[in-house]
This record gives sequence, C-alpha cells and structure tokens, in this order.
Amino acid sequence: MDVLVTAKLEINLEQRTVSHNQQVLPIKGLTFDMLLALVEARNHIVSLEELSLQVWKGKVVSDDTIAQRISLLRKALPNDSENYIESVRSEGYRWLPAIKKQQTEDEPKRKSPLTMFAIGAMAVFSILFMLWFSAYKPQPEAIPTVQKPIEHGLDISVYTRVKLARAQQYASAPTAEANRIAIKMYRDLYADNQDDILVAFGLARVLIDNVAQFDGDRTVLPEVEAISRELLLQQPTEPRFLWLRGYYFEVIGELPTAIDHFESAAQLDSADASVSLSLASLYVEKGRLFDAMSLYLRQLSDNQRYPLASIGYIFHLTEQPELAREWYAAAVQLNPDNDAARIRFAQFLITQNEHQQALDTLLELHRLTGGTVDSHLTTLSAALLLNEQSIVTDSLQQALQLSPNDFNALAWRAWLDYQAGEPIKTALDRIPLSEQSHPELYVAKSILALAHEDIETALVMLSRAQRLGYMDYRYIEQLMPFEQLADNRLFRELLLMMQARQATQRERIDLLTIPTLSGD
Amino acid sequence: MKKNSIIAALFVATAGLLLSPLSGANQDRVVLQTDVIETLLVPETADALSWQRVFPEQLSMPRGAVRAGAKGCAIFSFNINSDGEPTNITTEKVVPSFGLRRHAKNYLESWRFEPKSEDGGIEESVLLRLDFCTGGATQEEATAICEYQATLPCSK
Repeated sequence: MDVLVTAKLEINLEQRTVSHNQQVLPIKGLTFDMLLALVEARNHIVSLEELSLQVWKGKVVSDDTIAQRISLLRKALPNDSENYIESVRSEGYRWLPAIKKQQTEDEPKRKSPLTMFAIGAMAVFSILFMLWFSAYKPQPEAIPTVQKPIEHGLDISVYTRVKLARAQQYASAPTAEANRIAIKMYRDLYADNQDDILVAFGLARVLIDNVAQFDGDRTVLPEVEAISRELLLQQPTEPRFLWLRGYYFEVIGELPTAIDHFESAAQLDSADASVSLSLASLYVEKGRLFDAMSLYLRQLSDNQRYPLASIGYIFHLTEQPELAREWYAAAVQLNPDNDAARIRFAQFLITQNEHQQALDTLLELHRLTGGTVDSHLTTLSAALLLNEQSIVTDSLQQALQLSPNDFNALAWRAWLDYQAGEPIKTALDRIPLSEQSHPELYVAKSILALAHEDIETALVMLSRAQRLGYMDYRYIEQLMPFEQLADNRLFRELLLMMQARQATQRERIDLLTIPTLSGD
Repeated sequence: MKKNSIIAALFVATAGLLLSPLSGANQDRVVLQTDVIETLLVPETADALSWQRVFPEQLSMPRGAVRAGAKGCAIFSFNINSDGEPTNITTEKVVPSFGLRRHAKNYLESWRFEPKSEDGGIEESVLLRLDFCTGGATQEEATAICEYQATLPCSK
C-alpha cells in the first residue's frame, strides 16, 4: 500500500484518503486528485494544462474552475497549512512542503521517474490535444456527451430534463400531496442520476420540506444529512447548498449552526429569496427582530406572500398591535391556507384577549387544510381559555395523530393528564434540549415540568427560552398552564426581561422605513 | 356488316364484363383521410397530470396542415401554465423538418386545459408526441396507419 507523507498529512493512494493527526480530512473526488497531482510533482510547478489533464481527465476546464478547486483544497486542509500551495502566476501551482513516500508492503509499486515521464508525456499529449481542439472547434467549452437515443428517437437527456422540470414544479407547489408526488419523482430521477447535483439537491429539499412543513417521517433525515453534506463538499461556496445544509440543521433543531449556514449563503447571494426568508425566520426565533425585519423588507417587492405574516409577527412581538393585525389580516386574506400565518395570527389574537376569534380563524384553517401539529396545539390553547373541553380533547388527539412524538404535543398531553388527575406518561427528561434548540421547545418543556409539579424546573426552562431569544411574554401570560405562576416573583421577572428585550428591538426597528399596507 | 355488328356486340359485352366490378367505385370521390394521434411521453399517462384537456376534445388534422399536405411527427416539450394554456413550447423533434413544424406548433398553442381538482392545477411541464397522418381508403385505415406510425422513432 502506498502512502505519501507530506507536512503531517498522510495521503493513502489506495483508499484515496488524506489524514492529519489520525483524522481523515474531507478531501475526496476532484479535490483529492488535485492534491495528488500537486504532491506527485515533487515540489515542481504543475501547469494548468497538466492539472486539467490529470484532475479532469483531459476535459477542457477554465482557469477559474481550477482556481476554485485549489481554493476548496486549501480550505479542506488543516488550519495551519494555507501556505502549502504556492500560486505561480500564469504558470500553475506548486506544493511546497517536503514529500516522503512510505510503503507498508515492500514491493515498490510506482517509480517516481516513471511518474514524471508519464506526466511529461501527458503534458505533450495535452498540448497537442489543445492545439487540435482549438484548430477544429472554436468554442471548446464542453465536450458533447454521447447518449444513446431511446424510443421515439429522442435523446434520454430530453426525458430527464422534462422530468426534472416537473419535479421542481411539484416541489414548489405548497401542498402535502404535491410534495408527496415530488418526492416520488425525485426518487425515480435519483435512481438513474445519482451524480446529477440538481437531482440530489431537489430530492434532499423535498424530503426535508416533507418533515418541516408537512410533519413527515423524520427517518429520512439521515439521507438528507448525507446528500447535503456531499453537495456542500463538492461545492462549498454554492449558496443553495449552504442553504440546504442550514435547512437540515434547522429541522434537526441546531439553530446557531443553521444560522451560520444561512448567513454564509446570504453573503454569497443576497438576492436569493429562500435564503433570506429562512435566515429571517430564525432571526425571529432567536429574538433578533431588527435583523429579521431588515431582511423581510428587502423581500417584500418580489415575494408578497410569505413575509406579510412574518412582518405581522414582528409587530406583534414589538407591541404594535394595530400594525400586527393589519399585516396578519393581509397575509391570511392573500393565502388563506397558509398554516404558519394563521397560527401566528391566532396567537396574536390570544394575546389580545380575543380567544373566540383565535379559535375561529384556526377552525377555518382546519376546514381548508386539515391543519398541522402546531395549528392543532394552538387551537388547544385557545379552546382551553374558552373552556371548550371537547375541542381541547379533539385538538390534542389530532396533533398526536399527525405526529405521535411531537414534543409540544406530549407536553400538552402531560399537562392535561395532570389537570384530570391522571398518571403522566411523559418523563421530564424525555427529550434532551441543548443551547442549539428552538427556544419555543423550552416553553413546552416548562409546561411539561408544571405537569410534573416541578415549578423550579419550569422556571429554569422558561428562563432558558428567554435567554435563547423567546420574547412573547403576553402569550405566556395567557397560556393556561402558566396561570398558577401569575404571582411568582421569578416568573414576573422573566416576563419583564422578555418585555425589555422587545423594547430594545423595537427601538431599532423604529429606525426602519416600513411601507404601509393600506396604500394598495 | 353483320360480322361487324357481332364483333361490336361482343366488344361491348366484354367491356361491360370487365368494367362491372368497378362500376360501384365510379360513384365514390377521392377523399383525403387524416388522423392525429397524441402520445404522452412525460408523464407516461394523462392520469399523472393535474390538468385535463378541454379543447380540442378530439384531435383532428389542423386545416393548415391539410392544405399544406404536411404530415409526419413532432415532439414538443411545453408548460401548462396556471391558466391552463401551453407556454414555452419547444420543438424537440420534428419529421420532416420542413412544413410541419409551424402547423403543429400552432395547433398545440390552441389547446386549453382545465385543472382536475378544485384547488387548481400545478404549473407543469409535459413531453408530448403528435403524429399527423394522411392516407388510407377509410378512416379506420387512416387510424391504423397513424397508430403504426406513432410506434416508430420520430427521426430521419
């Protein structure tokens, strides 16, 4: 087995892996070939022609593509190694550290002069090839791939193109049924086109949409993890892949990591609406309302639908109820079956003591779409305040049916069981939360603690929620389980802290120019 | 003279005998039989579409194509937009490469779809093959010819 050792890196030629201090580095595929081409040149300059020949197997690639791959390689190497690769202007690249060869078996497989001869021969060939190519083809951008025609005399790529377009169209349609069909389409495409990054990206996106928006099966998440990691490895600076990876982290509940990815994506492409919207909604969860509002305002012109409710939510959180009501109403009117908008609107109505209206708007949503776990649980909170016992029971059942392990649903069931004097089925440590988790989950855990009559833990959880960015103190105040804490000094203090946080954000938001809705 | 008349009578009788099987055909006119057949390539069946075609109900050879004597096959990809109209029509294949393209494309442009469900259709892409056929003594024959043509590769 051949191993090249250079600057603490061990390059295993057989397994095609690179390790550093016993740890395997994320250097694979083209990036690995690039490293190998540089290292095998024994500290000589490797020209761009040689690189395109060795790494891209003779395919004609632009200088930029090579530079990009070099940059990927530099990023994938350990932190202290940025000076390992020297760029020699208009010549090529050179690997600087000394190179040793190790062999675990004694038969010498490769001889360096031979390798050099091979590289030399390939270089000569490549120059001849380039000359021939430029002489006969004025635009040598892509080598046409020869594909066998199939029935009807069409190239298979036409079928793939139309199928991919269909999958993308179904993926963008906002219903669970369309999502289900899109998953099937992408699965079929993926079976034949594993290497097509658009197909892989699309499949991961619809799978994760299914979990995030339609309470789908979470067992697909490892697959999404694998695809999103691989895509990002291939193209670390592609905003869509950063977004996809961030979306994955959001869904598994690692918010700061998700925000990091979204922020990198937004830096690379500030015009991408899905990046801005994803980032803004996480900013809201973390209590960064000003940052969120700035992003939403940028999106308003081209994407009318989604940000309306989100802007309403920011007004709701910064105690501007008239504006909040106006924006929420517009959102619901424009898109009556958007559950996120309805849920926020209902929560807002609850904070305004309009419990019946809150219940009505949710019931209307359920008539239109059947609802989600969150919409049923918000219905439950409203029905509790109105003492509508049958709706309470029914909502809980619906929520648990949609997602039997939803943490919010389990917390509410525990609390209702506690009220009814029944044994509590969910232990307090059922779901471990971390600093990365959604702040709203801490509110749920606080409710679970109250069901266990553990007021101290309930307050600790609420304070974590507050610290991680939760600030809807008016909603907490209204929620039935927290009623018993109304006179608790610590509880009141926590609410005041949320209120203070709102005020700080409000001051900054007041500096922004927000368009009025009534104008149109 | 008598001999002549016998020969003449024989000739008429023979001619009559020879022509009698064709005497019925003399009443038919030359009619151009045509047919148009659609073959959905992507998706594979119309069930998978969120739309159904409402115009035309039955496919028929467009007048322009009949007049131009255009026949052959054409494969198009297009989008059904939210109003149920074909847009972004792209000719993927057309045989013969002259004459038929414009008529076939105009024909497709005139199609209209309606969503199958009340919630509306999803804007979707379609790959569709159309075969335009003329010939055959009867409509059945024309259809049979066209059905056969539709199984052949649409290429030169």
